[in-house]
Amino acid sequence: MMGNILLWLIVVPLVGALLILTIPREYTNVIRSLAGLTAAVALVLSLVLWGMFDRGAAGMQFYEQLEWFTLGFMQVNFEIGADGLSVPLIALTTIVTLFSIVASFTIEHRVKEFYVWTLVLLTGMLGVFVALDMFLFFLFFELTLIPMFFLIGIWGGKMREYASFKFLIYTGLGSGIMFITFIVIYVQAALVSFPDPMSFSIVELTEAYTEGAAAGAVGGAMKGGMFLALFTAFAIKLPVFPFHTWLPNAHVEAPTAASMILAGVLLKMGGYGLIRVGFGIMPDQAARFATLIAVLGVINIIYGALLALVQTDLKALVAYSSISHMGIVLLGIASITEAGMQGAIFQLVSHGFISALLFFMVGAIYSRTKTRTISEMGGLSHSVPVLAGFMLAAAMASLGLPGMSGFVSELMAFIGIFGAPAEILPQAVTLGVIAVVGIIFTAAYLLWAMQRTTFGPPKEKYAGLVDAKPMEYVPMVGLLAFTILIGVYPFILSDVINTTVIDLVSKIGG
Amino acid sequence: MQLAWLIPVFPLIAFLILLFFGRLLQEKSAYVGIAALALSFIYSVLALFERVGGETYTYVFEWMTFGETSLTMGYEVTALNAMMLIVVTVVSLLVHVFSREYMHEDHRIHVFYSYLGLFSFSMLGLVLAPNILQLFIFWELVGLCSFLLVGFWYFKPEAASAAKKAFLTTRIGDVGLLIGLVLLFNEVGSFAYADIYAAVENGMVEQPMVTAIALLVFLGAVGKSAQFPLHVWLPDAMEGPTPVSALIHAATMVAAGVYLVGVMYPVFLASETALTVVAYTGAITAFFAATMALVMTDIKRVLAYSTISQLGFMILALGTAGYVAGLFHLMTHAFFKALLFLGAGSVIVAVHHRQDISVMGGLWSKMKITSVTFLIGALAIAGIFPLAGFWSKEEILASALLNGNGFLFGLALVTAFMTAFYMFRLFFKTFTGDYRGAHDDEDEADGHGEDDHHGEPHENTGFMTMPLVVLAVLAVTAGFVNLPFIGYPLEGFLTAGLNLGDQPHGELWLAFLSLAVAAGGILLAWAMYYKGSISEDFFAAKAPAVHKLLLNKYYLDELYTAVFVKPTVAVGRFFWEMDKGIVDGMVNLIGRFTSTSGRTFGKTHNGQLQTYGVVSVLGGIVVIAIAFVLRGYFG
Repeated sequence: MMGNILLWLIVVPLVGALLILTIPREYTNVIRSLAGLTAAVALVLSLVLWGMFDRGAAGMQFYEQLEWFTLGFMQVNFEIGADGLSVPLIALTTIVTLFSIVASFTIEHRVKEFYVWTLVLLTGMLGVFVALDMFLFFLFFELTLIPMFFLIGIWGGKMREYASFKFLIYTGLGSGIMFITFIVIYVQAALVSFPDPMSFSIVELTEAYTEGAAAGAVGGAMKGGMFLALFTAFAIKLPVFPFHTWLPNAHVEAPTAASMILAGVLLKMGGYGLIRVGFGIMPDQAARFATLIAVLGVINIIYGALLALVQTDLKALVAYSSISHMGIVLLGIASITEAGMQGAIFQLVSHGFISALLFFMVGAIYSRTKTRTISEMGGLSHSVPVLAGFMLAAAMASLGLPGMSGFVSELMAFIGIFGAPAEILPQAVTLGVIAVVGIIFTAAYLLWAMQRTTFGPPKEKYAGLVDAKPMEYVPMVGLLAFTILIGVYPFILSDVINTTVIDLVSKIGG
Repeated sequence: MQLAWLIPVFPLIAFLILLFFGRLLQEKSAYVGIAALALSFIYSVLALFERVGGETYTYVFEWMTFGETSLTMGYEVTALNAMMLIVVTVVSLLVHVFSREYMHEDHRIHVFYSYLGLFSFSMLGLVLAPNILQLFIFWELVGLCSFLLVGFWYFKPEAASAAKKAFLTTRIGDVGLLIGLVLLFNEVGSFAYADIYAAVENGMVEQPMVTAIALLVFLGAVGKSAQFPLHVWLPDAMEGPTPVSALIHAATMVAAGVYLVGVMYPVFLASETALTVVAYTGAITAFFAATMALVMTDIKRVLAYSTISQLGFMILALGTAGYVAGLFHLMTHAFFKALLFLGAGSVIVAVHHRQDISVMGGLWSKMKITSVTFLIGALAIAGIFPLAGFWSKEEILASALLNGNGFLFGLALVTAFMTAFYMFRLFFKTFTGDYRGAHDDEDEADGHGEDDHHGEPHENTGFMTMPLVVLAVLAVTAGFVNLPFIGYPLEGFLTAGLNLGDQPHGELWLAFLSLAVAAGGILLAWAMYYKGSISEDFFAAKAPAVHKLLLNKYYLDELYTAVFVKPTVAVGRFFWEMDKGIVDGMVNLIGRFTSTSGRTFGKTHNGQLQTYGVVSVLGGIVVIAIAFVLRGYFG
């Protein structure tokens, strides 16, 4: 079984979803348990994968390829595998999903559908992180879109329909661009290799574009266009300024669990795709557009932080903070250094835990105060001290407090950007300085938010609120524990990532 | 010492115990903290003895890896940090004891002690760090603890605001430090002190890079040690409980900036420019903070400005090659300033939680131990022979005179005069004359019980007086570790094995001059606030504009709000409007989608899976359709 563990990872949530479909909708507790159990099995599998993963080996592990179908001369395979980039994200996905399933045990509305969609979403996300065939990748990418669309549209807030359609259209637009670009990438390579057959394999295409025939045959302008198109597609997902406007709406309206997954995992697919496909297949273009990516990264950091500063809705504040934090990912990868790339991947994982925790806290507080308006809150440390304590811890993690994971990613990204080769990134130091100054704004909006929500005189109307319930401790403690674990001993993560990063950077640099 | 890692671990364990079981322990939480710090203190003494014996111990492990590079963490005992361990554990232990009484009415006393434990852990971790990155990690953690403790009474809006201000202002400095250490890492390839020293001494880091790095690192010190222009957070931090002010905002954390410059000293020595900046920052801060201390009427604020001023002295010393002088003063100041703050705490309890010295007075006869120990502290900080402050301040003056210039020396001298003056203004107004606080039913600032406000002030219990006595003894004797007559033992200890150049020493006349200046300050305060031969309002009447300027702290808070805070928020608001503009544009664009969506979801409310299937397929088709529409642009 362990040989095709990746296949099991994809299949297990689907099996869970199918099982839930057979259960009558009244048995809500059975459905909840089954969903939790399914996610727990996936989590265990991902940890087994983590343990089995060979840290020293470059390239794909747990590799599997099955012929799927042929369309003319196009060969589409079911090809999956994992390396140091995907293994941490797979673990992140199962962890965040399990905790969001636990976090949504309080949902009473259409329970059965909720968990079916969540488990389908889990399959889609895991599929994205293991797929090595572009067609398959696209399919899984799309598979995440529909469940999230429903999660927001059915279980969301007042403006849920607007938000869900905006989400669908925006990210669908990204998918469209991605799909077309994939075709172009494929066709260009296939034309060169003709009459030899060419598959949609990312591994094969990477080889063709870096060392093989397509490397020299495909022109610079074409490659540049393809890279920018890919970048745009993934930039919508990450999201990158100015493609970010779908995110705050989606988050504000989404139910807590969906927000946790959306910020915790779905955004990471943008970063992952950019590294796996964009940087993987066209490393020379990554170097060529490094300045553009770094500038956008810095804009994300500052712009997101400034917008977070003036938000009046706590959930919107957290949403804008996500935009700011994803800037670190761009900054890290744009540096084209081992440290920077390491920082980017760390940030994907770290922000996954921290944003999920933040959204959980906002949801937990909202369920009590019935408001997300910052000025309506205040004195929560008195009314709900445990929740307020975790909220503060999450805010500290988010502002990059050392000892928590966010600091390590920021540090690595900064080491990367300041050490970026001058021929690739001539303005590295200037950009780095602006980015580091951004962390002052980050501290400002988070601390100001804490001052206005958890601090301050106790409010009469919140006197009778119930503090954290036992079930709420599971996501709070769990997510915080992972954040602290990585922050205190980042070696456990860097050890897994490093070989892949060295390989990746050597291709871009060389 | 191999077991040195236990020194920070004891308070960490105390923190964890109190985090999980604090609610059960309540007031007994104090003993958990006290026991932990007592153990840390014992181990620190052992570490010091072993270090004096010449032994050292370094341990590192792999913490993070990227490419071929490994970052390590660990601990080491050096001469400097052996001294710091003693300072931190002594003051922390005494503050733990003091707080047992000071905080006993607070039902969150267990939270207070858990934070104190976390702080002690972080501060000791900072000191034991063998590399600058680990220092930075703990540096931020002490900042967190400071934030938590300043904001301990979170329900007071001033406390909440002060906590935020403290964190944010120091973070501005931290940004400099972070950039500095990243640049340093990219030059040296390591964060370890030993590697950094070697690289700098071999000239591996060239000008102007080494100057840039030194200045950036110094920016961190400016924030943490509340130097001008980032000093504005420290007076506000007095909103925290007084024992916290003594431990964090006087004796230990704020001195971390001085320690940082000390531990990075070879980098500073490599840059003449950086040293000059350091020296002037210190001298100007010392002077400037002292001027504000002259007019404050809140007992803790006077001490806060005094702390800023004394930290300026230390920075001045370091900037003028007085390595030992700066760190020596760090040590003596920690003891006498902790003494003064705890004394102030004792006074505040006695006068029913008021802090305004204009409602104090006459406490000398009512609380003997507090009065006498406070007087010792005041004499020590004023620099009266043979108390601790005399020795260290004299060395700072020597260093400013010999390696600085007339301006720096002059500023330092004037500041020394002002120090003696404002301290004795404080002393006379608090302890002599008549008690002015009786029958005063206003001022309930702290939210303490009403029954608090009755009765004459009286001396506090042993939990509070014992630490005062111990610190008073240290305020008298701590200077003896670097006596000139026995060959400056501390200097020999701190400089052994390091290339820090000759340490400046003053001649005898300088000692007399410094004594005369201190005595002059005390005398003037005596004439104005005890004897009354000069009116208390003499200077305020002569120069009302200056007086107003000082009372308003040079309007710096207002300036910063106008120049930094408001424009930032305005820019944020502008961007937000812009963002919403784009969103509104989107609304029109997809308006028709939303109008149909209502119906779509209306149907799906039936919960029929078939409908879902259709909708998801439709969704997919929409996606593909858009893709086709746009194909012309991208293909």
